[in-house]
Amino acid sequence: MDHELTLLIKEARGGSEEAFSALVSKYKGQVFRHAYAMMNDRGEAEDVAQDAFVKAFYSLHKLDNDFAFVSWLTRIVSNLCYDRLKKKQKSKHVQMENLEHNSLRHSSSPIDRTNTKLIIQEAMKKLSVEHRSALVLRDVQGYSYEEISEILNIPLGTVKSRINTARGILKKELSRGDEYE
Amino acid sequence: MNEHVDELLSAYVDDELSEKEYIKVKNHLEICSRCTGIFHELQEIQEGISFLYGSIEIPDIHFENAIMAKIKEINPKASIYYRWIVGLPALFMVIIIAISLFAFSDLFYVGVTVASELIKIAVSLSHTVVLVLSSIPFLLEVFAITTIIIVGLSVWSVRYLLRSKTAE
Repeated sequence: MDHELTLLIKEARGGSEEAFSALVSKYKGQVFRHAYAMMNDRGEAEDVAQDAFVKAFYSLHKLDNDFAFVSWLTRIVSNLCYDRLKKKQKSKHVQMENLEHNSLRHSSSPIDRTNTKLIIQEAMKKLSVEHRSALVLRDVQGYSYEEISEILNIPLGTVKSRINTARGILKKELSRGDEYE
Repeated sequence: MNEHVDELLSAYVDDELSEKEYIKVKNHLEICSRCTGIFHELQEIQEGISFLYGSIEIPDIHFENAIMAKIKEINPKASIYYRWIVGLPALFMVIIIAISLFAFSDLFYVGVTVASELIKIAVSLSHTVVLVLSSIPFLLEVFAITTIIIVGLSVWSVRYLLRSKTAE
């Protein structure tokens, strides 16, 4: 971690809005991507990402180790997404928005890439919050299994199993797309 | 043919297997087209997810502004500007007083000097008056006789006035 970051964290902890704003600019991409991958909705992702930063601002004094800032921030956004999705699940079932009508073709031309993106996005909705959390931390954020285990506070074996199951579900969904092609 | 390695393929894609497991999967993939096909599919899914969420548009500066607004809304006292709003007038007052004392110190000194001199003059004058009065001979006697005469005249005047009123 660079010296500039530790300095920003220190200043932000002292109440400097300027320093905290700089931290937001530095990590908003990472936090927003995570929220977007979890929520699958731009507006909601922005809301959650903003809430995560606000929470981080007021909890900075609880951060013992500045070197763990990024994973700490990821844990905050991950927990917020989890809570929000669980709340949503209680109020209504996740919609399966026409997944069956989409198709997947295994090629890498720009058009097919776009198509694959859409299908993956739809297929992600099929995953449970737990499976999605683990997969997003791995494939979107690039954390190791051990780091994911610490962030989600679950055993390493559970991380491995959740990612494996999540990919299995996605593979199945994408194959179904092929059948409708 | 070796046993299929479906359960290990996901962790193999992530390079999260133990050395023993890694060798097992690697050797199996060399001879099993089915598992190789699954491995490629999993790789494609992983790349697809990374590409999908790695290429989304990140919110602009309004994002930062919205966060800072939320922070101020929750606790305005946390705002550094708020601290300035409260602290600045106090600081300003202290500075003004300090500057005034420094800039007008000469004037203040002159004022105090003049006042003390005036007091000294007043004290001297009172001493002088006392000395003058004490130097006049029979002053007390003259004062006493004059007072008696004045009091006597006043009494006579009052009695005269009362008598005139009764006669009417």
